[in-house]
Amino acid sequence: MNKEPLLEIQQMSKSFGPTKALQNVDMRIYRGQVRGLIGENGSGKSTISSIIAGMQPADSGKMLFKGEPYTPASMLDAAGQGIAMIVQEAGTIANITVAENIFLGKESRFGRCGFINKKRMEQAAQEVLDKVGITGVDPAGSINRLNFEERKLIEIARAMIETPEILIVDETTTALSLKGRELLYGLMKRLRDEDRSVLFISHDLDELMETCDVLTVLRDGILIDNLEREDMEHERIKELMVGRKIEGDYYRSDFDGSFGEKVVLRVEQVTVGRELENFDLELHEGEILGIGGLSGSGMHELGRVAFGVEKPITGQVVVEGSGDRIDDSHTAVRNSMGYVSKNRDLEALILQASIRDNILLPSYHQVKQGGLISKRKLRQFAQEQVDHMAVKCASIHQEVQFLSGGNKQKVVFAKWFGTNADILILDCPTRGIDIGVKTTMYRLMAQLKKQGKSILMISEELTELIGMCDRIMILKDGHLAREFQRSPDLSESDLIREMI
Amino acid sequence: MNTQTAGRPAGAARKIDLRSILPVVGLAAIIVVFSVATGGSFLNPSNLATILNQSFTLILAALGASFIYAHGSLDVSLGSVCMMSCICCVHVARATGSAVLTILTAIGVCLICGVIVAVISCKLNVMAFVASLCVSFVCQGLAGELVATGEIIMPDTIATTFNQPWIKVIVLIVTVAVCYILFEHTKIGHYNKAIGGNAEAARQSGIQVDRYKLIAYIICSITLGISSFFLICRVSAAATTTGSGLHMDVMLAVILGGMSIRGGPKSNIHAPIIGSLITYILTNGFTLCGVSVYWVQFLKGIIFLAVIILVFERKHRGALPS
Repeated sequence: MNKEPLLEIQQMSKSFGPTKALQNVDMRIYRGQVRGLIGENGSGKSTISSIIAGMQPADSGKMLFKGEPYTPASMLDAAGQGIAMIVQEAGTIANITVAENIFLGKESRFGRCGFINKKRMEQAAQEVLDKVGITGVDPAGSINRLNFEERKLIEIARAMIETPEILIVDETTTALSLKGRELLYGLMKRLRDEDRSVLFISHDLDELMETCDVLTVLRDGILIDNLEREDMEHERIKELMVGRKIEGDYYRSDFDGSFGEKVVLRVEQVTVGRELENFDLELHEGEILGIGGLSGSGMHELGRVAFGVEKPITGQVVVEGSGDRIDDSHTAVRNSMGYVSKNRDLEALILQASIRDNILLPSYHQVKQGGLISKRKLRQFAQEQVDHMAVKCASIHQEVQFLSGGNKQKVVFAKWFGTNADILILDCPTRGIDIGVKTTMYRLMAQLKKQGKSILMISEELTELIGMCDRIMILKDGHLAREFQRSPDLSESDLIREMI
Repeated sequence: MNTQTAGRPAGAARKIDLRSILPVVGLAAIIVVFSVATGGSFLNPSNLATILNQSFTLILAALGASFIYAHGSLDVSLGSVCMMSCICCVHVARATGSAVLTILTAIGVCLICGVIVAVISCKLNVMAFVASLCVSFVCQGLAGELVATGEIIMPDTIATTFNQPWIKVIVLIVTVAVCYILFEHTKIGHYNKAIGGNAEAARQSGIQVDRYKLIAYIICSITLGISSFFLICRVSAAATTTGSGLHMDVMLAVILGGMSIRGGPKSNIHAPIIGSLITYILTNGFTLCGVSVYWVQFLKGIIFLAVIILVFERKHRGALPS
């Protein structure tokens, strides 16, 4: 590496109030390099990338791009100079066409006398889509017709209008299926081969190790180490991220795979839209039942129906003990069920409410005294749950929106621990969560199983399904493709074969 | 709270404090200012009684309304429903002469209208604002028919019996106490705040969203009914202009009191009381200072705007996730 760096970051710092998001970070990104960035939630990964992409300025420090001082005023400015970013959260605008989304903010290049030449824009959009390798999307069509994954691909296309010198990919892959990921990996490889660079941020260690040339580890806003390919090693990286040795039992260590005889929840011949067709399922006492599949396989709908969030067109969900039919979430909660939605911020939490108020949502009946809700009991109850889950927070009165992703998820879990739910439906419970919190979650799940509680875990992460579940059902196009029993021989490729 | 905070924007925490403290500070400040500016005549017992008498009906209406504001409903029918209720009161009072029946009528009319708004907005998924606008028009139309003779007068016997300070004080204390308990110490208040914060999260936590919205409307209707009854006792004549603008006054009071117009977890039950007092004290104080009615309106508008710009409804720039 005797070349000049393409981008050099010198002594960059950034604070949000009392929190130091970045502290004197030095980093060099070279041409022809895919640079990985990893760290726990709150380690400063997204902060660094957002500063490079022009979304916010640093408090101090300098950036040199191609040897020149670089201070982007906005994302558009940065993109104009050759640094484009694909962002973490869905960033397409509804109700307009695909082409309009791709060329958002750049319409003027198709302008003529104040009007926009739509034909030309759509043609150009098609060219971009071809370049990226996205097929089956009509640039003149409305963005609303695309699913979440396709929209994510459109964002990738947007970053590729002018092939950038540096492409920043921020946790985009969590929203993508295998096919989308392959497309993105291919794109990253191509950029590297063209002597450009990629900055790739992800929680998925395997993915990073496979794609990156150099992996930078951040912890608490400090750059810990840069690892070359030959130094990349699971345990070492995890250790660097967390700052201590992670114990070996990440997943369940037993391969017992046994569970109770008693069925607690029955899904009978359930059909939901086109996503799920005549589906049957039995969840047993003390069982962790995994559900896997591609994004369109119907697995998320299954979770929603099982908890009564969505109504099936035909069929029913029945709780064995009480014989109740689950038609709405209220009935589900009354039957001691709990649900962790895939869309945590939109559906599982009240962001502007305190930790206390979020935890108590389904549990107010437990904190009464003489028929009225007691403030003291309220506090006690919430504090107990927060302590139990080890939520990192200033106090139970802190607003949930200011917590990191992992701690938010802990609050969601705390909510259902509070109700002492017997049946938990977890939809992607560890999505976007760092290793530390993940380990906690897995340990809790194993504990719950021991207590005889039942868990339906829907997940896109195959390793977690294999590592945690007694049984795994792989869904494909709304049907059961195959069922697997817990076994040490089960591999990811076994599951993938059934998914596609 | 302690300072080893993991909570990020320090400004956010400060803003929240400001939001809950400012209304109280503001109320105290205007009381002081007007006391000085009027040379003490503002604090005159008879003037204080006037303020209580005038703000009484607004406080009652706003107390109940804060339940529906908490879950995020914006009801613009309160004024028209109040008028409808007053007119029906007069008719019943004149026909029967019974105070009990008259009070029941006042509450009953409000309940019918409130439940209609709730059902339209919850069951048919129409925005509460639109649903209440429709109900408001219907009320105005009907009222036009019911007062075809122009003003109709409340019988003196009932009006004078109930238009007395001590009755109002008792009613006020009881209503405040009941609303406080419902809001802070039962599921009703907590659930409505939760629904205002995130209805989907509330639903997925097993809360019956529609039911608790309906309960909020029922509470709102009851206090509006009581408020209407005392209003008609005070003004004694009902007309199509009775209660006009009440919905705006309620909104003003609730916001000046420190609640968000979108409701949610930071809603509280002292906001409507403090806000109502601020609204009336401003009017009263300026008037005592010799400011003309029109300028009072003007100044209230400016003050309201200033309050909003200072603390309330602005979106703070979202700090990026690190």
